[in-house]
Amino acid sequence: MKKLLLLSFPYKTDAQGNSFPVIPLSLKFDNKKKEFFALVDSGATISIFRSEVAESLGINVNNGKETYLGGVGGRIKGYIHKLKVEIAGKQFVCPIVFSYEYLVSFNLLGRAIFFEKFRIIFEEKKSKVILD
Amino acid sequence: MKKVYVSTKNIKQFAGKWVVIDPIKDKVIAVGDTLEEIDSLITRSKDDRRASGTVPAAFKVPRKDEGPYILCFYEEIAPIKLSI
Repeated sequence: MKKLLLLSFPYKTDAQGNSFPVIPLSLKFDNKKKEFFALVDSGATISIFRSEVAESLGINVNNGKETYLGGVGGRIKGYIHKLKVEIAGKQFVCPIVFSYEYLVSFNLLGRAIFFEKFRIIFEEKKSKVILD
Repeated sequence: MKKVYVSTKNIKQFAGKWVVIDPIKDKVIAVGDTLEEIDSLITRSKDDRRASGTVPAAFKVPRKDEGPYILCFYEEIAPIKLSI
């Protein structure tokens, strides 16, 4: 039987009604597999997720490689981990930064590795993102 | 955790909460104050072969006072070795 695959994802809205290109993904660590949504962010060099995501997978955040991430709002300290990720039927290992200082609600899917795996189309008029 | 059945178009009522979204039905099916509360609904066995994106997943709805976003991160020190 053919596996059901979704490759087109409607934008999700926030409390103000702004819409964002958010897609579902699986994160795997040890024997755990959990499902999350993350914002596709071409402005991010690397993916960054909230620290409670790591904790739910049983990952010790501080065991990753320490790094500092900078943006228009200043810099934050984080730890890089390499995790097995599944997105739109593709499985690969992706570097993800977890940070206690990252307080934005969205988990971010940045360019490192993830953007190499897909042709990513932002259909802003139709409020959807397509992974090809 | 509270079970609900609400279109994702009306997700703003859950601002600041962790929600579980069924991506096939495009509905919010549960809401919690913490990720831990909804954990059981987003956890799968390693042998579950259903594709990501076809099963319920967790999403933290931005708070009402959050945004707009200018998300522009770069690696500042200690170069990251990205070859895996």
